[in-house]
Amino acid sequence: MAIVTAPTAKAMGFTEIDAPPRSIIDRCVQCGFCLPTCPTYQLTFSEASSPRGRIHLLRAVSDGRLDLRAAVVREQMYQCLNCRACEAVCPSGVQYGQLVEPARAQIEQAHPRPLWQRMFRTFIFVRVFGDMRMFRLASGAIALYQHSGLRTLVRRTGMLKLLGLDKQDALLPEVPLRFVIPSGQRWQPQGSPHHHVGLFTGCIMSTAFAPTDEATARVLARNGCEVVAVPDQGCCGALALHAGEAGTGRENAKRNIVAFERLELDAIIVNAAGCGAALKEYRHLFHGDPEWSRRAERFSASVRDVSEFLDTLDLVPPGRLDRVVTYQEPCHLAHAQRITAAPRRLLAKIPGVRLVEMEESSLCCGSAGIYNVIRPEFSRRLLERKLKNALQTGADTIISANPGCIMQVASGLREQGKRVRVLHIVDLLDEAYRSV
Amino acid sequence: MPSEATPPFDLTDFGCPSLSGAATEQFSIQGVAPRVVLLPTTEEEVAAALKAASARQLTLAPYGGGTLQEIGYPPEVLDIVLSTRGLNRIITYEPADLTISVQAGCTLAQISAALAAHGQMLPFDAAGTDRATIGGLVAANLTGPRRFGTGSYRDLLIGVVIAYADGTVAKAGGQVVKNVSGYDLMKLHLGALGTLGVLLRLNFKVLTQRPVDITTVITGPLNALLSLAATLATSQLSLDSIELLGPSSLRDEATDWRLAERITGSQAGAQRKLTDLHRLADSHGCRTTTLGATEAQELWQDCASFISPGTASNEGVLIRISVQPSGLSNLVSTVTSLAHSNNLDCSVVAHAGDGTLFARLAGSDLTAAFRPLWESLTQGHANALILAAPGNLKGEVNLWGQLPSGFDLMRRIKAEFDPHRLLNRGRFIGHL
Amino acid sequence: MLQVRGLLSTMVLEESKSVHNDLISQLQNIVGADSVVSHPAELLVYEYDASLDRHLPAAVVLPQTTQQVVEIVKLANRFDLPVVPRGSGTGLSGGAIAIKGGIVIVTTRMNHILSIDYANRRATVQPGVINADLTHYTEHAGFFYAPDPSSQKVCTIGGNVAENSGGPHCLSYGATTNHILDLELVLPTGDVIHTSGADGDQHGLDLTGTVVGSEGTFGIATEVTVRLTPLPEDTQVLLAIFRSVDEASNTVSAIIGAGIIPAALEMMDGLCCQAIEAAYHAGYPPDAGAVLLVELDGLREAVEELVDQVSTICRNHGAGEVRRARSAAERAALWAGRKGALGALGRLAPNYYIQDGVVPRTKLPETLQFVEQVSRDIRLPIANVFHAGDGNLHPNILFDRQDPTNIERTLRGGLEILRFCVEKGGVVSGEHGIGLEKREHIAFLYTTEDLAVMARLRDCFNPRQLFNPDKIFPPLRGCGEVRDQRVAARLAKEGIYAV
Ligand SMILES: Cc1cc2nc3c(=O)[nH]c(=O)nc-3n(C[C@H](O)[C@H](O)[C@H](O)COP(=O)(O)OP(=O)(O)OC[C@H]3O[C@@H](n4cnc5c(N)ncnc54)[C@H](O)[C@@H]3O)c2cc1C
Repeated sequence: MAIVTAPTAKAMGFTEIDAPPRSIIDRCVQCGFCLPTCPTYQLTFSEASSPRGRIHLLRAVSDGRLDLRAAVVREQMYQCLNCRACEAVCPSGVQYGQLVEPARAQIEQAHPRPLWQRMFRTFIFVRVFGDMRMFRLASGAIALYQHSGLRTLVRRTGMLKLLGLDKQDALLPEVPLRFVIPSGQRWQPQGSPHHHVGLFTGCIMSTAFAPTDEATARVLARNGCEVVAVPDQGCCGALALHAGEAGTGRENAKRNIVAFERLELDAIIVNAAGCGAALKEYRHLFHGDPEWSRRAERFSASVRDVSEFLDTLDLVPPGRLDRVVTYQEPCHLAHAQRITAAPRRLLAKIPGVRLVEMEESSLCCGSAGIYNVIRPEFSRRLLERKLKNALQTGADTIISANPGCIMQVASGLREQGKRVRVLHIVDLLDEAYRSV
Repeated sequence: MPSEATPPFDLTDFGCPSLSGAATEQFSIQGVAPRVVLLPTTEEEVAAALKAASARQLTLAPYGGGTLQEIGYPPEVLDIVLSTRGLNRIITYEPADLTISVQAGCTLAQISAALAAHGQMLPFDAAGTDRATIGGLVAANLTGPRRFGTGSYRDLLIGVVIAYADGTVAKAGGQVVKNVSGYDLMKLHLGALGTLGVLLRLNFKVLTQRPVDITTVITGPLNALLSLAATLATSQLSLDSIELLGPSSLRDEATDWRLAERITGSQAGAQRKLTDLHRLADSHGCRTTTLGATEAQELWQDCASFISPGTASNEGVLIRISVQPSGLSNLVSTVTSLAHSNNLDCSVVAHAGDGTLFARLAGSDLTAAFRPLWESLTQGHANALILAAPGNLKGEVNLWGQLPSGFDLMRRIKAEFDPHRLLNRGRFIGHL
Repeated sequence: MLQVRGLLSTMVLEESKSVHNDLISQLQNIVGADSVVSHPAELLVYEYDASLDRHLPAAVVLPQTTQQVVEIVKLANRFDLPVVPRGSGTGLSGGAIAIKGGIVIVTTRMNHILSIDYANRRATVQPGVINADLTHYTEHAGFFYAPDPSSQKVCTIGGNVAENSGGPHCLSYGATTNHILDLELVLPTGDVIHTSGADGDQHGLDLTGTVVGSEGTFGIATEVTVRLTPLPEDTQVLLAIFRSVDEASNTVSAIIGAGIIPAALEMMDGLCCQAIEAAYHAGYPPDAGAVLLVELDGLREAVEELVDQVSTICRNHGAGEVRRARSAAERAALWAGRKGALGALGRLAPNYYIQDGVVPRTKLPETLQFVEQVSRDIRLPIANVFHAGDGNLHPNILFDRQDPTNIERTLRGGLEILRFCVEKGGVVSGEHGIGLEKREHIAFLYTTEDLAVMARLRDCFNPRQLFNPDKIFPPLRGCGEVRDQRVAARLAKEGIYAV
């Protein structure tokens, strides 16, 4: 395959539809400010594994100097965690996230996966994540597996090791037996409500993290919000989008927009940073579709991360909790949504809680959607680094705000036999309120 | 020796005033008199002289005020001394830019006077400032007490014009305070003892005189003083100088160990430094005295004289040893006990903040006694240098102690710029 | 010679593939397969730095030890291949670009802080350590590493040494050269030397000072001993707001003229303030003509006095407002804005071309007037953000590389500005280096004789010109304009972008 060629040669470039926008590529002035913030660069110190390097590869494809199917392009676009730490520091305002997803989609098109893989991906992204009933079924099966004693049995036989699935098994969160099924249920505040908010319940949040969804609703209600779990909502679509499945992602978005449009709400509250980032950026999915662009824009404008929202309220004082905590910034909160101060201010409002900052709090923990499954080695190294930094603080609780991070960090701690807890920030707040 | 009237070689194409015969005696370098002394008054004359000398392979030594000619080995051969004293113009001085450009033969006193008229200065501590030329000072790069806090030649030299051995004249750097255009040749010639070229013109960034300039002297046990010096050096006080003075090292003949500080700043700033200094000295069990202006001036002048070779060769040996500041305490005891066990009188002064120790050694059988001392000193210390010693001793020891790992490179540089070893032949490190 | 040709197009290995394979396998033997980049597609990301030019190397190596570097250099000698040291690739003069192909030695994996010694105020680090990390790891003990290029969170100490980098705080603390105590240097022959040794004073020639700023043409630094500086007791930051660049530059001259050397004295014009505000929301007034950012540090009492003096000078010279940052967070925000200014210009125009000339400080007002005039002449906006206290300008010509006439005007503007700087007694680069980009411009400043002396010095270190060839020295003497036109044509054709 001709790789570096004159623009005239036959290197496969981007197809025109949904190509990574050249205008974004051109904004990169190659100052390199992104390098030290990039987790994969931090692991490799190799330019190709940096945002600047990856943008340059895309530029080369766009210029016709590099074939889209070149191994390095695929490797780099998937090695990227899409944590968007680079975006947060980019002085030129390069929207790197807007390059990665289209690039992956182009790679998927140009480089068809074997049939069985495509079928499997369709099954996962369309059937499981696309349909909450299916998702709950699958989650239920996992819960059953964990709670019935089947897991103990399976683990004891060493079967997972044989199948190479032991790592995946270790990553699985403890799935509760009760899920939050959004069907219009409401949480009422004491006294008259000051805000009417819709809860984005999410897929993993409403199943594996159902208690956190409930805690979110309780904390909001405690602070004068009437909370409704809007019916007919589904997965935010982020996972599909990250995997280059643009069509599926768009379908998810439309369904959520429709679901939330039906109600008059002050805000749409989301407690998973990854979902929040996706919801806030729905408009990018509908370039060239003014009708949906407008609807997406309206939808996104009212999305708030739960920390972001609570931070604007005059918080009812929580009860005392004597804890030493450290805060692990979810990439999609800190970088994609640029929310870093609000969670820290909230923590400071819980009497007795002492926040000890860890080094590299905003460096990705290696979870990144399904990254820990597709790039286990990188993921593990990032996790080890995260744990080291977190444990060095001497904290008894690690606070985060995204299911992926929580699962990742918790599995790492389990593996190391550490007794440190990992909690979503609203879980801690909820606990504090309950202790009053 | 040729007669006074007939020069030893034809001087017509040297194109500048000259001396020969007995008159050359006063330009002797470490007892070696040149055959001819050239007295150029323009930069072009210097270049022409160098060209003529190189055409005939005559060896040549640049000569300023002669205050530091004791440094280094005696010249292997000395045909010509080229006096730079005729190059004594201040070329440009722009007080508002805080920069000055001077010819190499200007004396430090002359430059300082010009600067002082505008409340400015160059913080170079030197002995005999009315004779010492700026070119000679830079070529020797012998740094004094103020290097610690105010900086020295290396920090303030921003441009040079050099005449090379073949008469080529080339500049480097400029008249601005920040510059990375091309290589930093200022550093190349700094401390090269005039072995790579003749400095013609030097540009400096200058400093503003501070309203307050106080000198304090602290006395106490040596260990307490050294530990205090370490504290001061790493503190936020940014003192100009932290100088350790050994017993009987200065003309005041004080017999105990002392630590002298130079404090400058605004009224409020200097006062605050003084207060902190007192407190820190007290906590180390030491006593602080503030000197009057004349006393202070004398003290710093004495320090400069102590570390400067001057005419030390008649009196004894002057050595300089550099260590990391934390090694100073060990170094002081090593040097003093080595001197003691070899029956030598020893007095020391040290830039305590920098870890640079100067020792003067004297005694009845100096040559015999010094050699074992030098041998053991240079074994333990890579950076030891004899700044002055009697002629017979210089023939027997390596003045630079150990040769550094970059010595081959230094030799290559010398060979490139002065292939016939015409400039100050044999005088620099490794007899370059 | 094995070489990769073709600035932007086909990669041609002029000698047989087997020589290349041989080279690669030997490199792999030295550092391991995962530390050698040899596939053309993967080499693409080493064809640039933060400057204008591009060129592909034949191979890239990422060693971790001095010994590996030595072996790589010896191998390069055997293959007669150029060697180009590279740190983070943030250089603004093309220093890390392998303009003649060859082997790029990347130091990013040589990133260990080897020792920190507070008592002796020094640290020894590998060259790939990031500048800001030194301060990060020492400030808890009350120290910092003073030279602070705006790129300090990215650039390496090795790169700083090579460029003698400056930064806002170099006004009072001095540039990199004032903070380097010793270098372990692998010479182009493969020999290893220490330029000073661990202990203080100069011993023989000042090789350390000579090597700092030599832009990777004298060898590759594999260990660097730097000076650490005690953190000042107090730091105050003022933001003085002016109606015009003229007022602000007169104020700079007045501050310096009064003998006050602030820790930092930076100027940003209105255009820059707009870009910075868009990117950082740091509190820069977007409607100002120009602002001065002044940092004063030292003992509390002294700083208070200076704050008063500087504020008064600013007001007397037309500052409508002098704001004082009230907290460490406000200070940090102002600095983040200043240090991100260059990148933020990406918001004003697709491209910017940065100049780095220096003038004597009294010449600032007229030089900035000239810059404005150039901007009018070439009909392109120029944004100024620079180290005013040093007289070190950074006029950024804003342009769009898609427009070929733009490029010609941009280069012409840059040229005129630098020529003016030299006429006013200044120089063509204050901190970014000459590299590729200013190779012609250096001839405004130095005569053939001056440059020949420098070339002779280079040859002492680098006799075969193996290290970083074709840098610093003008390739065609006296043909600056000719090459600029060539560059322009190439830019237009290939869509290369400037900085
Ligand atoms: C946005 C931005 C702002 C900047 N601000 C400033 C500023 O304020 N002040 C300033 O001075 N510069 C500034 N720069 C320029 C640049 O960051 C500096 O020149 C920096 O020192 C380069 O470091 P680097 O690690 O990126 O080196 P590179 O760009 O990789 O290399 C630079 C040069 O150093 C050589 N080199 C690298 N490592 C070594 C080594 N170990 N041994 C020998 N040679 C080596 C290379 O060959 C090359 O010639 C800025 C750049 C950008 C993009």
